[in-house]
Amino acid sequence: MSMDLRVDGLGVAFPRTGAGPLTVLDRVSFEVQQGQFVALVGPSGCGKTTVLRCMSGLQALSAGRIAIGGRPIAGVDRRVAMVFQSDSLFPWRTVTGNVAFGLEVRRYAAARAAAIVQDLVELVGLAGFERAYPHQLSGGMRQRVNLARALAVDPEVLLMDEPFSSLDMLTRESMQLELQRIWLQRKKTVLFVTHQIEEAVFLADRVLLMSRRPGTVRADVAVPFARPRSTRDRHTPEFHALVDGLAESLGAELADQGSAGKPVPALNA
Amino acid sequence: MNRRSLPVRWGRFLASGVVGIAVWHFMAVSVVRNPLFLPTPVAVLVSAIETIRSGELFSDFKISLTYFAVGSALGFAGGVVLGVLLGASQKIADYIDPWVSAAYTAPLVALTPLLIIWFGIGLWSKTIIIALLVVFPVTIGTVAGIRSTDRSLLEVATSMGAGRLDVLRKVMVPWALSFILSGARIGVGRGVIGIFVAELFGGASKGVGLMITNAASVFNTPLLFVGIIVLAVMGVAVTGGLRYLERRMAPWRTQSIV
Repeated sequence: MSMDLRVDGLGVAFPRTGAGPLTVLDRVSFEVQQGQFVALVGPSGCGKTTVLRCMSGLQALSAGRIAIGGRPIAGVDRRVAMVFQSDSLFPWRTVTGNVAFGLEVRRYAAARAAAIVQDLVELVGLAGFERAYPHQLSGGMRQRVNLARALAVDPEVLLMDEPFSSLDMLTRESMQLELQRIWLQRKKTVLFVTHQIEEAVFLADRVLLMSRRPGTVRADVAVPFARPRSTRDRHTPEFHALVDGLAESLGAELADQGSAGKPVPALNA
Repeated sequence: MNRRSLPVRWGRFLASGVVGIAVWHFMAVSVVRNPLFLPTPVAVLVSAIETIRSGELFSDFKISLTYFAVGSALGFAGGVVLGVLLGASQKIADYIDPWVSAAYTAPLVALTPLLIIWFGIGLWSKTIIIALLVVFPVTIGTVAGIRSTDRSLLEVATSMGAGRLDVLRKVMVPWALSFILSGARIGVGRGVIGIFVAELFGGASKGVGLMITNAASVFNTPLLFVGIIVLAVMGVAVTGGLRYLERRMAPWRTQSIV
């Protein structure tokens, strides 16, 4: 049975004192096929992260439903795992201890957990750093741990919330290549939030463009480039054309002050 | 904080000690000029050697250390348990917080005579007064630590499916460790005062606190200083040990909280 992710009419509104509720997400709908890598981009404050928080059970939905393989997600769900923004590692745990966290709280047998952890530490390229603490690691290495921690619980859907946003450009680009390598090996369904269009195009099979608040999906653009993609692919005219097209739509979205519903420039996807 | 090498910093500590003792000596010899009011460092040292030789200091110290160790351990354990309960549950905190604040600021040593009526003049009344002085700083430190737990770490744990107890055990308490140890350091200082007060009012037959009281009553000022220095050194040693423990157990924090 396929484990497609389906988001249907997702809405989130926060109550406000002295005003009506603040609508953050409004009728967000999209589908992600099993094993697909989808990037979610949009202006800051558009609710990209809120979409992920809804899926990981950290944010209650006001409307709509989310389902994986037809079975709805309600609250914290074992089928999803989240890679948080930087510095969300447990500082008192070693690399191994951090990666093992999810397995511990899910009561895996110690021997089985240890095997999974070692496997992942090697997969993310941290062999030899098993006993290092987060404060002894570079930003890029910490994000590798973060990724391994989420992969350890073997989720159907991997949520990534701007995981590389705090890295410098070179580290960021090498981490994007690493993520692609790992993803090609594990073939998880990935929903990747970023505000960098270039990153989204390089990594994803599809880019979803979100509108300003209240956030909704404005465009769904396929990225046709073959895998594995290399740094060289970033410099092709096709790559630039796609990035520029999306940037233009995003710019139009930003300029589109309050007049919701105005069409964004057509995209040649 | 200055990140100079350890030898340099030890050199400074040593210099500070030497200058301090020199100033003390100067004050005693040139300003006060009355050994009854202020003995010289040498007189205190001589007195210390005498009491060590007679075996008196050691037997007194052993008694005081026992009170202190048992009392502090009780206070520490109680403070952590109470702090975790208060930190983890807002409901419990609402009921108990006012009492903790009151007990922390109240002059609990004044209860000593009453505790002696309740628990007798033996070990328990003295350890309980020390425990009472230690427990609340530890409680307050623990609560502060638990409540300051990084939100993103809590979210990681929750999203992984950790239950309340796992969040407490695997996230909040490890996070709070530095705060707990900081509270313990403040508690130790109060505990040392507790030794003196407990022995003073507690009808002790031995102990450093009693030694100080007896020395004062016969105007043996050098011995009085010996007692105070012994208690101070013990306090500093325990505080230093806790600081070391904190660095070992929470190496990611670059600086102590207190």
